[in-house]
Amino acid sequence: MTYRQLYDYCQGLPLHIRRGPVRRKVIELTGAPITVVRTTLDVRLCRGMYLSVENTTARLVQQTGKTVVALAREGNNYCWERFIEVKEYMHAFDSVTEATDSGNDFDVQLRDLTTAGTVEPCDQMIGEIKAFWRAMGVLCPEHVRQELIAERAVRGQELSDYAIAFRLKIPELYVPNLFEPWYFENLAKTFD
Amino acid sequence: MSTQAELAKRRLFGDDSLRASNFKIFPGTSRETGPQQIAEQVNKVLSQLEEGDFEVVETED
Repeated sequence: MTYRQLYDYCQGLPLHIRRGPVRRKVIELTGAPITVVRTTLDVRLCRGMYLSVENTTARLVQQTGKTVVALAREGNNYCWERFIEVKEYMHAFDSVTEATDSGNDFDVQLRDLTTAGTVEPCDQMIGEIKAFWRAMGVLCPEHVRQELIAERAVRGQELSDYAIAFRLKIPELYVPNLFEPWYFENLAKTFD
Repeated sequence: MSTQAELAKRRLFGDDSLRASNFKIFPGTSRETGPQQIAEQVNKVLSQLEEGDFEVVETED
């Protein structure tokens, strides 16, 4: 199974791309059920988590299953929660080297998360960056992105970031990424 | 490394732990967040998951 199969599937879905079909397709492709929960995460510190565990006798696994996506009960609006949830699903496609599966990996991940842009990203953060682009590719089919580029070429900022965010139901913060010249190049790097 | 981070690592990856095969974090809105604070959130959520103190959601939209 590859992300490319999920990407291709999403290209044919109507807007806006809904979480349910994405979740079911990820589970179908990976063969691993995912439980999504809301917790008291403080969104100022952490907006979401993805956790996959192997110890089937652990109490947590009995409660949630082996793979869980944790969201915050409060603080994420509709578009943010959609994006966070889908981004976390993308970690089901992390490579072995991108997975955080040791204490050392955890340390470097925490280091990179709290020193963003100041160090060469570790493999785990590269997985994080890939998950971001993969989520963008899922929530905005490429033909829609091309239509948005064409429409903005005509209307300029009359087609605002907010209007696009409203159309796609994604955070307004990420709309400019859709217009980056290297957008598809970044996305295509994640197709494996 | 902070106590909270050490505790989180033990719970996720230590002997007789969850044996996590992957664990990822979506950063929060504050740019002033340190490793200790993130690890504290990790430990809080792990406890909630173990205790069943969560709401399962299957949002379609």
